[in-house]
Amino acid sequence: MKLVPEQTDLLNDEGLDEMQKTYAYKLAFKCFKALYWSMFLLSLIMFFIAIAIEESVIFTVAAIAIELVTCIIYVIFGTKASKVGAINPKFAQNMAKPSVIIGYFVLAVIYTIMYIKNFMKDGDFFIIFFGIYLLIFCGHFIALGFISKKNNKVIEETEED
Amino acid sequence: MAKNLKLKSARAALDMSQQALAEAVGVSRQTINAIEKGDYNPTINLCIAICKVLDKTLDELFWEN
Repeated sequence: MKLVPEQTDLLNDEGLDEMQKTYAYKLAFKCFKALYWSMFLLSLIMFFIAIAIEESVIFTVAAIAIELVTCIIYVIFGTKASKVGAINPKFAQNMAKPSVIIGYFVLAVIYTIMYIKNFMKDGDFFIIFFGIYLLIFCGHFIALGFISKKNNKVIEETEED
Repeated sequence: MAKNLKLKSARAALDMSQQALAEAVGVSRQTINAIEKGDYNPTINLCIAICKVLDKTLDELFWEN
């Protein structure tokens, strides 16, 4: 008799057949999407709480950490999906446009300059941390731009001979 | 998606239960049930496995007239 239950969790697909996997993956995809936007919302809420309660560093760091982790996971998902050309074609076409990548890059530069200027002058808390926040956001969109380019390249290369 | 009555009748002709067919092709009973109800579109590998067990061709079981 096993005294310790086998290590498993809800997201373990071991033992599922093709139909069960298809449905579970579809649901997981939707849940991942919901989790992504919820995390962004949560980080924004924490950020505004930080401002409301006299510039709490803990809430600010938590907000940025949540945003950073969310972006990293999203980018990892995109990187892996792009290897087989499994990114939404409409999204990939739009994100791979040079104007989008350049646009976010310019925004990132502006935020960096804003950040450095304010940081040097011991500037406003809101601008400094919102600068970092937006910088991460821009960085993740720039990464998605390159991931989309890779996705489109994979699709072009795998077209029929 | 339409119900797959051909699969259901072929299975019934061999006096096989959904559970027995599921075990023979290595899936769950729910999957066979979903295919028969037209709720799930099986992969070609599963279609072939079902055809082999029921001794039918793909056309006989999965081709819609």
